[in-house]
Amino acid sequence: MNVRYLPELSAEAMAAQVTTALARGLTASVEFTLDADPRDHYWRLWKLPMFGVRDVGAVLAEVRACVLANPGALVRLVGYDPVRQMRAVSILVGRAGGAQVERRAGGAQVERRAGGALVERSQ
Amino acid sequence: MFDAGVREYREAYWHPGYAPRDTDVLAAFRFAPQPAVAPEEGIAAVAAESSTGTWTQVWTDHLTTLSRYQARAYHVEPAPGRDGEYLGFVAYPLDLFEEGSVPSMMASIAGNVFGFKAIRSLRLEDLRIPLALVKTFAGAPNGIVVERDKLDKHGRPLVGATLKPKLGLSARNYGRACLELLAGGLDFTKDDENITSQPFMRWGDRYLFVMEAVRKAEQETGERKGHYLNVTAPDCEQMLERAEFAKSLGAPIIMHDYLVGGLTAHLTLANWCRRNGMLLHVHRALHAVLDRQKDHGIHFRVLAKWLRLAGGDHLHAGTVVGKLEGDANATAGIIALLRDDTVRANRSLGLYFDQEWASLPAVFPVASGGIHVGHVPALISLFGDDCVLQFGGGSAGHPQGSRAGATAVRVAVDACVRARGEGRDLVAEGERVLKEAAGRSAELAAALETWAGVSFDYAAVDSMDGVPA
Repeated sequence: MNVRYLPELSAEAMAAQVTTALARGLTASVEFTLDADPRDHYWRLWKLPMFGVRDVGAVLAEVRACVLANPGALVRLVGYDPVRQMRAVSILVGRAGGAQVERRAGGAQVERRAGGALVERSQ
Repeated sequence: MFDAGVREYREAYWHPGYAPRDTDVLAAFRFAPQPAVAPEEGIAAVAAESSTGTWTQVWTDHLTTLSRYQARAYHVEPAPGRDGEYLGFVAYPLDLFEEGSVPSMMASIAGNVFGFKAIRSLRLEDLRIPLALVKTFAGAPNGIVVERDKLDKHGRPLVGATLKPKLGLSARNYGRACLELLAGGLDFTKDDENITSQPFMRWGDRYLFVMEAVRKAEQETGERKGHYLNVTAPDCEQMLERAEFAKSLGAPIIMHDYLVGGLTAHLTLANWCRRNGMLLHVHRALHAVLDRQKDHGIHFRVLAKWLRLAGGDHLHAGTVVGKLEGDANATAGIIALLRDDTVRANRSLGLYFDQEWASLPAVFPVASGGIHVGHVPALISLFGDDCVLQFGGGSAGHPQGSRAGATAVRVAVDACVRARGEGRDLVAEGERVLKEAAGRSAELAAALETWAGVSFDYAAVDSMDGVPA
């Protein structure tokens, strides 16, 4: 899922996503990058995947911790299926302290600054 | 002593109660014998003519042990709700087939027997391919999991579009159409099945302009993009030449019409893709000629099984909701055959046999033809994540053009996936999910308004048994 086509997830919506992913038996994992290159498959792992963790709050806490510890990084929450060795869920979390690019009507891109200010960017 | 003359087929080929061996190829036929022919004689004739038999006794039969090579008709029953039609089952010994060859299966089981006079009509409904034969094929060059990992696209259906008009654009204009769709939010664009190398756009020019568009869309969006470059060609040498050129330009995916090009050419191409790390999109042009009539031909589930063996990463498999023929239950059965590793017999889905695939890579079913944003919740409910949804007219037909149309599609898909991730039911709430998303996306709002109420509710010509045709 690419966050640019949708507004950023609220805290409650994020909790709902994690609840559903854990209910599917997926393993939560957090990873981040400072340089989102579409050909880079290996983002930096934020700790090890949370094998066996079924506590929604614990997963959300790791997402927050990763965002706070890596200002300007793109953070991704992954729901991993070890049977198929496949990422069944992939949710992009906005940059903390940096800019998040979001697509708006008409194709214009908008940068959302940490303080919530929106800056139009031409394409 | 050689006893010349004609005997009834059932003397040698009708074996009621035969317990098929694990290594047998099993076939389910729907057939209508001529009025004077008993159903047991009819299915025995099918078994004979598709294996060792011919119309008369021949002395050379006695040079071998026919019982080792003959097919056995082992069961027949009336087709439910179809007067004069029967379902017959035939077991073929493994030795009748060459290893790793789909043409070998086609020439026997779907060969001369379909024109046999004693049978008025004949349809191959299903085929059980034994593990011993499955293991002689390599299947998809990549498979669903590897393709997702290569393109880094997870947790949602992939979205694409066929470029329109399907014929008549110059290479430069074609590249523009491609760029607008990919930059707007689609993952893939696609050549149509009948785009090869016509005077208005030669294949080399098309590949160059399209790959410029793919690279540009990747720079604009930060996502991997691809265009299915059709390499269907007059001969295998030119097919491979086109594939090599696509690779040299950095294309991630190429495309082939597997029935039109033929299974021999297709296996050559699938092997080339596996050696070269190339994704392979497969179009099924010609299939409806073979599979649409309920009483004669080859059901698409058999053509799909042959493709899973021969190799393809994507295969068109019907939309249920769109403009092209495809019963919902039959489509569900075909999707299972493309994606699952073990498929259980289930007559309500048209699956006559258990089928084990022994870890042959899974194939993405492609839903394409007359679908638009309004269909997205239903498509995700039917297909799940592991599918490619293609919106040709459904994106380029947007009132603000292809880029807005593609964004509308992507917003609809991402919104539905997100809603499902929050525990919402897309069947019950799909319309509301789209409406909410349209409140934040002018592109989606315009698309929903343009195609409000457009549906294709015609009865399927090939309905399932028990449902009136």
